[in-house]
Amino acid sequence: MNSTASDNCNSNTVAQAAPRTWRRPAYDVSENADAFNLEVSLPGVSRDGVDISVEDDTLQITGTRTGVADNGWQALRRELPAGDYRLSLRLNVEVNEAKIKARVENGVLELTLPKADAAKLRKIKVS
Amino acid sequence: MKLIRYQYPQASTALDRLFDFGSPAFGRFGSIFDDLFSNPPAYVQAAADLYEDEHNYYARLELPGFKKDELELELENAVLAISSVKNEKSEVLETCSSFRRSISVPDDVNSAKVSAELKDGLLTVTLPKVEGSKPRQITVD
Repeated sequence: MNSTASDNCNSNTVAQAAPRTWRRPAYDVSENADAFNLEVSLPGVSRDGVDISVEDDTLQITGTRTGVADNGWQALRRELPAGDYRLSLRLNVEVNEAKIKARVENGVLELTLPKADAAKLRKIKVS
Repeated sequence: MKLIRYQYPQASTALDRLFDFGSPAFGRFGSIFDDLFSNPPAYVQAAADLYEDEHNYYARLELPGFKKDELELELENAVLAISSVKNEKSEVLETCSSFRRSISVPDDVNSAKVSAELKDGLLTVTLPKVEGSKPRQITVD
């Protein structure tokens, strides 16, 4: 590792030219009577970098980091994984797709997935 | 529970030792203290990247969900300590995202001018190099 300086520089430029790598972000799911709440950790991703889509029963979230590849910075040590974020979740409950709300703050995406009326809890009275 | 030292992805080299990452000051005695008090703080060591360019060193940590005022940065005796104690409780979830990370900074850092920026959950600490430490050409007489 004596030639760290030049080696690191070269490998960095190669990595940038290579196809995108993805990593699966950490996430939490919670539920209340009306909706599912999803919190996804997307450090380095701003509002514009988030892409959310629902297709059939799959919710797909991609997060593109901005301002990560700073030119002229030479890496001395790298512990953080590289790559942008991609998360696919299968929805096994009907969700009101038109009313999905999303918010990005401090690198965390908060997603509210309202339950479709059919999926909500119905109480039946005994007559 | 014991404090587990962060596993470095690479073996240390002369350059890496410059920063001598990782264990807090008591690291060496960690196990003794753990046995004595048996209730050490359950700190997680956050992973960090280190970079340099001509004028600065940069330390970068991924801290999603943290706000500016929840982070504590201290620079003392050439050790930069980044930490936060955060416990959140809602009806359904209880999260503890406390962490601590110590980085020993090289001698040629101008500690008075260290600055930090938090953007989109990404913390970047800028450690400017002292003027005199930049490469200087010396001509042979």
